Amino acid sequence: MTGNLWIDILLCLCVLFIAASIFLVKNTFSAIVLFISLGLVVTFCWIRLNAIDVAIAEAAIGSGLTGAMLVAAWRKLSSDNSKNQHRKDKEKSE
Amino acid sequence: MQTYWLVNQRAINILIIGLVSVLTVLLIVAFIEQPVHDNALRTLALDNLEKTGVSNPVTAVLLNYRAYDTYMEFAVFLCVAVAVVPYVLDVQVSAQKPSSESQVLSIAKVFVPLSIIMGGYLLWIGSSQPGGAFQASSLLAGCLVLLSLANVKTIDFSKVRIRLLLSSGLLAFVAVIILSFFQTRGFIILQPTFAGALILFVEFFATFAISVTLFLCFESIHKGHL
Amino acid sequence: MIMLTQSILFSICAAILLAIGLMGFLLTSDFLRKLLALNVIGMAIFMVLIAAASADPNAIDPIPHAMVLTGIVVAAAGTALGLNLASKIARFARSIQNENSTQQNKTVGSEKVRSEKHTPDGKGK
Repeated sequence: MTGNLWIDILLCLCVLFIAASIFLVKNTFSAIVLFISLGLVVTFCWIRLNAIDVAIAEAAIGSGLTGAMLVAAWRKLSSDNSKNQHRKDKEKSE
Repeated sequence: MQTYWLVNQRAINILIIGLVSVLTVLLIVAFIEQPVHDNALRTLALDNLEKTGVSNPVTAVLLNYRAYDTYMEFAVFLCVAVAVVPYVLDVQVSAQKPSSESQVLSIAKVFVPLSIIMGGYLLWIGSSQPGGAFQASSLLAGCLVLLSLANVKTIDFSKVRIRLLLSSGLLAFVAVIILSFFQTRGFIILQPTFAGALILFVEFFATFAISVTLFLCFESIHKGHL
Repeated sequence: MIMLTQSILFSICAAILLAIGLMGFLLTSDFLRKLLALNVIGMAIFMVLIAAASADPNAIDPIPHAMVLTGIVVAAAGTALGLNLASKIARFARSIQNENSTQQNKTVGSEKVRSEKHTPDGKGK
């Protein structure tokens, strides 16, 4: 196998490892950060496959914009949980 | 209130893992055993590239060969914008002046002008090199997101001109379809001499429309749902 | 065994990525991770398309590239709609929880008032 193919095999292993660890971590914020990094590694895959337009769009939209939306939504959802927790603790103490 | 499971949860998990593994193995076998096919469509697309008016094959496919799909996609974007705008309009407009200049604002002051220039370059160079409307619009959307994170009041979505901007991509495409019908008597048949200019016209308005739609998607989650 | 070209390697990687995304979607109960799994499945399908486009090393096939470009942007918009839905569900659940807790406080308060009313009558009788 040529050297190019070893780079491709390594890239595919990176992709599969990051994708598997998205669902195996406990913290949701870590999962979102891993998803953003998956988008960037997949951008590398598109460059290897000679798809430059797709790579530019994936890096900006698929990884960047989707990641920003996910973090904003996580902030909204996790603040709901923590606010409820504080309210329950207050009621129990009263 | 107690929920009752009809079947064992563990058995369902094992069933799911088993079935998905079988599907994956079948897919891998199908990918390995696929026959070598001569790609007649690709040969056709690359041979007639001069008649499309652009020399980037991906732009030619997006806006000339499969222009109908892109037209439908602009309509889908308008539907998404209509579905998401109520979440942004619900928020009370409060004056968000930061007390001191935040760090995000100083980053934005450096990056936003550069990104606008790069977006314009990507839009222009899309006819011959990798680039085009989608890439330029993603850069502009990134600029708007950066400014919104720096608490700068960027776009007020209750104004009519913003709604006009959101639909400008679809309107430009409809105008090109109607005008090219009068010239060639066919549905989205662009004449080779004017095709480059018409494609650039559609891409110019589509860039603004898509970037504002993507920014609207982010803004509805960031500022909405209070 | 098999001739391992770049196209077949990325197709196999895409099939395993699809399996990871599908299993993650079906086995997780967290809503945000389900949305992440949907996006991972989308990326696997894009990889299948582009790996099939690069089968010939001499010429690039531009038609799957255009499909994937459309797909990326539509997937981002779909994720935005899904996240809006998640925020709306969370806000609704929070309002229901607030209603339940205030109702519980009201019933506890009324029971206290009723027991205070009973004791003077019992003592009198």
